[in-house]
Amino acid sequence: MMTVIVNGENIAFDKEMSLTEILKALDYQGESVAAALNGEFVPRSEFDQTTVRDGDTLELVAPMQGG
Amino acid sequence: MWKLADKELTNRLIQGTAQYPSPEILCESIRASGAEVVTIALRRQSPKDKAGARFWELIRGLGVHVLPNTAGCRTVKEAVTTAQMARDLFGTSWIKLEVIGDDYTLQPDTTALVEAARILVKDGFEVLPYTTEDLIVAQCLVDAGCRVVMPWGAYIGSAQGLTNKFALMTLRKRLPDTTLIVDAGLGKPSEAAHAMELGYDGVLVNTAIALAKDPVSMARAFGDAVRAGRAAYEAGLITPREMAAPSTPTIGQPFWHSERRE
Repeated sequence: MMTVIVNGENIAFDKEMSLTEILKALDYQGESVAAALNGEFVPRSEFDQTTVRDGDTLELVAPMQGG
Repeated sequence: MWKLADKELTNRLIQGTAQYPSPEILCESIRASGAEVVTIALRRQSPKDKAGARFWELIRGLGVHVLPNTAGCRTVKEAVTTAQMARDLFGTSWIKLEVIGDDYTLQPDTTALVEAARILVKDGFEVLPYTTEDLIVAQCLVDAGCRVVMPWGAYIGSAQGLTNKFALMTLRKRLPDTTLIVDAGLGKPSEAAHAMELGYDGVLVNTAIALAKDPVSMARAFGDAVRAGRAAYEAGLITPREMAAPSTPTIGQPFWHSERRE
C-alpha cells in the first residue's frame, strides 16, 4: 500500500506505479491533463517512465477558463 | 496586420475566457469581438469532471491562438512549473506570466515576475508578463527577453480604467520597440479606445465583457473601440490647446468688424 497526495487529497494505491498507471487508476484522460510531481513538472512524454512513490505529492491540472 | 510576438494578427483585442454565463455565450462573444487570441488557465480537476477537456475542445474549435496564464501563482517556482505544464498541455510556448504579490489588489510581485520571466525565456518561452505601470520593471522584463510587456490599467476586474495614464504614456515613449498591451482593469470600450490612442499595441479584456448584461454586444463594442482607437493613433491625434481656435475660416466672414468686445 502507498498513499499519494493527489491535488491535495490523500489517495491510497496498492503499490508503487508509473504516472501513466496512476492516471489510469484515477480514470483521468491523459491527453487533457498536465502533471507536476513533488512540485516538479513532468512532461507527458515521461509519464510512462515516472514512478510515483509513497508520500509523493501529485498535481494534476486541466484546461480551464481564464483571464 | 500587426505582430504579437511571432504571430501576425489583424485584431488587437485579446479576450479572456472566464466568468461568461455559458460556453455558448463565450464563443459567440469571441466571434463578435473578432479576437484572435484568448487567454486560458490551468486548474486542478477531479477525474470525474471532464469540464476541462470539453472547454479545451470548445476553444480549439474556434481556431484562435491561445495564451495560457499562470493566474494565482505566488512564487517563481509555482509560475515556472505552471508555465511548463501549460506548454505541455496546450502545445504553445506563449505564456501570460502572472506572479501575484498581494491578495487584495492582485498586484504582481514584480521582483519575482522578472526572475520568473528570465527563467522562462531561457527555457524557450514567449513570455507576456502581467505587470504594473512601473517603467524600470518593464525595462527589466525587456532585458530579460520579453518582447511583449502587459502593464495593468487598474486592478484586475476593477473596471477602473486607465488609472495612471501618464505612466502608461511614459512606458510607450520609453519602450518604443516593445509590444505593449494594457492588461486588466478596463471597464468600458472608451477606455480600450483611449489605451489604443496612446499608442498601445493592444488591450486584454475579460471581466468587462463577460459580466456585461449582454456579453456578445459588449464584445463587439470592445472590438470596435480597439479598432477605432488604433485608427485614431495611426491617423495622428492633434495636440490639445488651451484656447479656442476657430475651425470655420474667418476670412470673408460677413458682418466682420475689427472692434471686438473686451
